[in-house]
Amino acid sequence: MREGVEPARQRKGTVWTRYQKHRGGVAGLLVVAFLTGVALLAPALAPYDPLALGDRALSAPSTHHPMGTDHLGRDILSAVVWGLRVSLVVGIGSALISVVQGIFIGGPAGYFRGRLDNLLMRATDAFMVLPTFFLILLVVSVFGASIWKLIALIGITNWPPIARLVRAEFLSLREREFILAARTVGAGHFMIMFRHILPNALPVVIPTISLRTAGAVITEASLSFLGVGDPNVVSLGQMLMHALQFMRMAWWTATFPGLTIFIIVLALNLVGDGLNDALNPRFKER
Amino acid sequence: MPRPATRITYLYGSSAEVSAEQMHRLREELGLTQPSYIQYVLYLRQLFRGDLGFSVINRKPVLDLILERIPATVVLMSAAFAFSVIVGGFWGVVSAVKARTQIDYWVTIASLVGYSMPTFWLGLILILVFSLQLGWFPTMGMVTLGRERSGWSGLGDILHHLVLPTITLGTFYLAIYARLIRASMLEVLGQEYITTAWSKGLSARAVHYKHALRNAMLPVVTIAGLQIGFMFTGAVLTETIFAWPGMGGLTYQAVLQRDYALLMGLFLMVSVCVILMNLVTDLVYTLVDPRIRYTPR
Repeated sequence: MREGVEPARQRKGTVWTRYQKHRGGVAGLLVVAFLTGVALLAPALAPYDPLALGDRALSAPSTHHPMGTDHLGRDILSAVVWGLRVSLVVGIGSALISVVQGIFIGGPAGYFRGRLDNLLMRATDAFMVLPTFFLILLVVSVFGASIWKLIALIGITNWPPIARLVRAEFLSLREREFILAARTVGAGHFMIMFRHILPNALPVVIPTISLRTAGAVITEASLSFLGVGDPNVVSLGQMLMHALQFMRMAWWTATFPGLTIFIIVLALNLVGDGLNDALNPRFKER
Repeated sequence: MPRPATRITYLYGSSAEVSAEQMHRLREELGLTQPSYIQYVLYLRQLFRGDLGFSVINRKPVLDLILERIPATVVLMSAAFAFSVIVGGFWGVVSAVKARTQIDYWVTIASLVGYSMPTFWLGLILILVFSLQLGWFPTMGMVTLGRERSGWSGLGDILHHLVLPTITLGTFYLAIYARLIRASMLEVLGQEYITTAWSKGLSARAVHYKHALRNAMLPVVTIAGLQIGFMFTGAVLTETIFAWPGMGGLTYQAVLQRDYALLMGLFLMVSVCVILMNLVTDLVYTLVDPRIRYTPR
């Protein structure tokens, strides 16, 4: 039904045209593109080694250090550039894990219905009420953290809302005529689920990748802020943890890393909203 | 964060003069020589007796440690909840009623900013501006130390300390509720019974707040119930920043001190609270929407 009769190319065109109308979404996309560029080029862009100790601790922003230096004399701009990279890697990595997991759990639940649906959805409900941040905190403080562990942990604790979304889509799509047609020509369950239903459920899934990434960036920053992030990489949350002690005399230590997190999250949320409006016009109530 | 080799090394810390024999005796005392599944069964048995274990680092039972921290967290979370529902609800209604106007536009932007703002950074910025620059509010704690007062002035002191943490913790939810209420108000305002209400000659206020808002609240109740668990997360961060003497601050302390018994206890308490809150949410539905009834099958 979702523009089912239109040729594929035209459909693509309309999504992009609709996206362009969402001014916030376009702005968000530009910012995300810029930040991704900075993150990719971090080694070339950062003026200093982010971990190299300098002789001028807590010096205010100047031409040498546009964002000032921290309590160990490290250049904040360089640390922000590298920290941005870590934030994005953790964010995107864990969002992808959550989405794939959501698809593999929500998909079969909606497609097969019945007992399997019941089982999977009760498990989803149970996970949904779990205080996931506490769980991650507990696991990380017992076993220690690395960037990969954080990606895995944040990824595997945040799939429930996505699974529910995917299930609802599969539940409605499986009743459509084109699925009946596919079944009539003898397509197997796997084929129907992943070749026929999934592509049609993607409009609902895609915006959540962006929103989930935003959520994961905040989670990673929060963990680092509490001092349980990966100690071997520069991260924005960790910078804020130190800033808490030196804020009184050096406002810049708290301002720039936090502002960076805020901009990443804001841009990703805008992109998510824009994608949602463009891909699911029926959800739009304005 | 470096992984502690064992709890024991952490307990002794830097006091290096500990013989292997002493170490072993302590391990036995704490029951750490047994295999982990036995330890787990023992832990469960303890739990059923209402004993959450003993915090060796704080030299106090875990339950006592948690219980003495609960009031502060309840105060903070209730304040943040009330703040977010009242202000967020108001914003949502205003922006739905004035849909597609300048006001709606700015409310939408403000709520987007609100829910993109990392809790802890908001806290830091508030301290920077309102405590350190302007000096309006204290930076930390729940009461002014050394000048404890009682009665009304004591309450005033607590409220004064409560302002910044409440805003820090509540802003994210405020933004979410504003968005939710806006969307569901728009839907409700288009329904026929609203037209009926208008045609009866009711005032705009009565229509918006009595007729529309009440029905628009339902999705908010659902989300609010689910959010309680996540609000604890915010409480950990907020209490850490403002040195608020609640469970969140205790969690941070437990993480720093590798106090696993305490962490497990906190995790358990939070989980129980979340489940209870979900139950409460279900019951609140019947208050908001009398059509929903829970009857035995």
